[in-house]
Amino acid sequence: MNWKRVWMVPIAAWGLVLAPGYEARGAAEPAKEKTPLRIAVAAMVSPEETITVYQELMDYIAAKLERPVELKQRRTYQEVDDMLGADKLDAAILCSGTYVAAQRQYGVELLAVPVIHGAPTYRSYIIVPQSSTAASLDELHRKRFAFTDPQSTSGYLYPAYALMLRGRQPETFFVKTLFTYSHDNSIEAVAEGVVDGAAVDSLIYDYLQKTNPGLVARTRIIHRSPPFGAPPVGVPRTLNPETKRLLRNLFLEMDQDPSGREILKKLGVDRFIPGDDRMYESIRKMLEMVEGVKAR
Amino acid sequence: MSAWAGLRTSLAVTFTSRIFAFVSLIILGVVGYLLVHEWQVLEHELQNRGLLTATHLAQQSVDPILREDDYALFKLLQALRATYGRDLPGQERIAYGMIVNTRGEALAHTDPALVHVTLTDPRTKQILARPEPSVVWLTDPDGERLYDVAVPIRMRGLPVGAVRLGISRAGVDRLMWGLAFKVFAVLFVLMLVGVGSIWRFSRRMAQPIQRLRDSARAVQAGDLSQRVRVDRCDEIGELASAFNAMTAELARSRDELARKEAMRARLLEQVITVQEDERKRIARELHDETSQALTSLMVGLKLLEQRPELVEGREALADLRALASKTLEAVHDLALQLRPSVLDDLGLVPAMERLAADFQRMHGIRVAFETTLRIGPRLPSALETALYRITQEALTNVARHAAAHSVSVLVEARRGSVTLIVEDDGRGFDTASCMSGARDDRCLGVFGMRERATLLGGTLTIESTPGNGTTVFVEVPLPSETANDRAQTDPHPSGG
Repeated sequence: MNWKRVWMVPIAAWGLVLAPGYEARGAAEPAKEKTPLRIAVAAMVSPEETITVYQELMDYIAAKLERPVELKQRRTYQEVDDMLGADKLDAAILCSGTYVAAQRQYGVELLAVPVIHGAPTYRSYIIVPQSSTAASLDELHRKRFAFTDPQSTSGYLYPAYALMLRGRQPETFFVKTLFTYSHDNSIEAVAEGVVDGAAVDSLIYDYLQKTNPGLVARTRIIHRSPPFGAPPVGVPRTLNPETKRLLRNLFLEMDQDPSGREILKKLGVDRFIPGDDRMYESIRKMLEMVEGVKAR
Repeated sequence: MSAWAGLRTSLAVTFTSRIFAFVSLIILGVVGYLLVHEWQVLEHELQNRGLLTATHLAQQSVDPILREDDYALFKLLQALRATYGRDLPGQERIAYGMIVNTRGEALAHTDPALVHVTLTDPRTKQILARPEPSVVWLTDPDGERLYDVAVPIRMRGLPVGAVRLGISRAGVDRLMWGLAFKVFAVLFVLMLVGVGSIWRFSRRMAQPIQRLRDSARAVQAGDLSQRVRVDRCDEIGELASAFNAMTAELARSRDELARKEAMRARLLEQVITVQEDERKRIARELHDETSQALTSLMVGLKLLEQRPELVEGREALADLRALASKTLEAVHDLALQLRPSVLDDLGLVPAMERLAADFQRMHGIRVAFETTLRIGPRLPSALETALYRITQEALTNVARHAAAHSVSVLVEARRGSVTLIVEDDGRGFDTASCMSGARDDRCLGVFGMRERATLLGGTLTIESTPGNGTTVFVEVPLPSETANDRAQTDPHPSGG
């Protein structure tokens, strides 16, 4: 089998030039490997990123692993999940919820978890306008509420789960719901009084508090969720073990390398740790429960 | 005053120019501020529209970028260019546009040469490093002023690339310059009109002041009949009234002064007349009574001297007789000095001759008397008396102060006036000291001489410098009948 793979190397090299979408598996010789590594970025790790940071990350990986790396981006989480399952990706930075789904569906494995502001976790905040008298989620009964994205853990899954624990459903508990598809937008909607409450990502909320304190000051957190694992780097189950090892070491040692530290700084990440699947157990449970309720 | 200096200080000019400057400053300040403000508003509008356009483009670009569909991106830019490609006033023109990916590579660019080129200019680097919407002012190599609008392209917060648009400000610039030009043109015309009316107004204001000035100058030149028309109720009207009152008062004072002067002159005349009459009386008394008494005394003494029985007393009697004789002579001289009868009886010329002779005899100073008055009717007695007294005083001064060797006295009659000149070769004196009001008797004597001349309508001048002698000039006009008489009888005056 290895022999066939070796022959595919020049073809793969041509493929790199002629067909950017051509997928091929890399061989086991890391030093001479020329098959491009396909890595998707499907989740924002931290709100402080620059536009070029992911490209720079790719270049960093390419330099360290001595093979070309392609950056992939897709509109929906599901697409990325499916690409992981279909061997169309070698690694992906996933939203926590997406990782859980992909792990369940395709056996995607945890490669590394970022530590942001000292913790490899984040939370969901339920926020209301500063002038609101509500002090808990229950008091938002029959009010207007903003979610971010149906696939967002902090922006939909958690509040839905919290309501379902009370035997309620978001569609009927609130008089009106909407999806802003952006945590910034949700915060603004609350600050402006367009909605009476919203669920947002704690990382983004905390970041905005530093960069736009005036806006954030017009909101108030009435509930903080338990911690969820931060958006991890996930790899397909079928990834070449050597590649997996190299990639994992790369992420774990990134903070010890000067150019790696540069990228970490631009990402707004302290460092990467190996992480533990148990950090995502809470999300898994929430997902099961919400899906279960929906299925009924 | 030169025309330019007159213009500079003219009331109308300073008033108008000050008001004009002040009002211009205010108007220009306000209008300038408004225009600048308007400009800023327009600029903000332009920037906001640019951001809106770029944001819209960014949203439309997400899917094509993920699909890696360069053609779709190209069409997007083309559509944008078509809509905003023209430079209409108030509408912005898109000078350039580009869509870059996470590498900074231009996936689409309005400049075909830059498609698929990784851009490294500072502005692109800036948006890639700090993905926030921003607007920057630029000037392109052709000198065109632009806004560079940069907006990040995000998908669910993830950076996907960036959009940059260059929007021309030429439209706004032109709009604002046009507006500014029109506004200032209108302002200019209005201000000209304003200046014109302010000028007219200030001239009307200045007129009464000018009239006052002219009247004041006339009063200064001596015309106290000036009165200014009072046709206003304000301060200028009050000034005019006050001016009229002042001038009336000045006229009244002047008349008063003239009256007093006339009275004083009459008084002085009267004093002199009384004085002369008194002298005449005393002289006559001395001559009639006192001389005769003395003469009788002398005769009696002579008879007594001839009595044979008074032998021892004969010397004493002779002495007494000599004393009486001397006294008689002294009284005679005194009477002559007081009022020479020859002056009344024979006239000025013989009196002057006698005076000259007596003076010469008494003081040892040579006196040369010349006159052209020998022939013809006599002068009025007041005139003769005055000339005699003046000459007497002048000669007395020569005797007392001049230390001279000789004096000449000249009396001449010309057409209409008589001239008296007394000139000595003494040591002179400083005439100015008498002018300053020095109070010694010499000055009083000079004052007296002058007054006598002035009373008769004549003038007296003294020329003297220390060391060069003194000359007294007197000129007195003849009353008309006397002048005519003299003219008939004395066509060729000759010296004596």
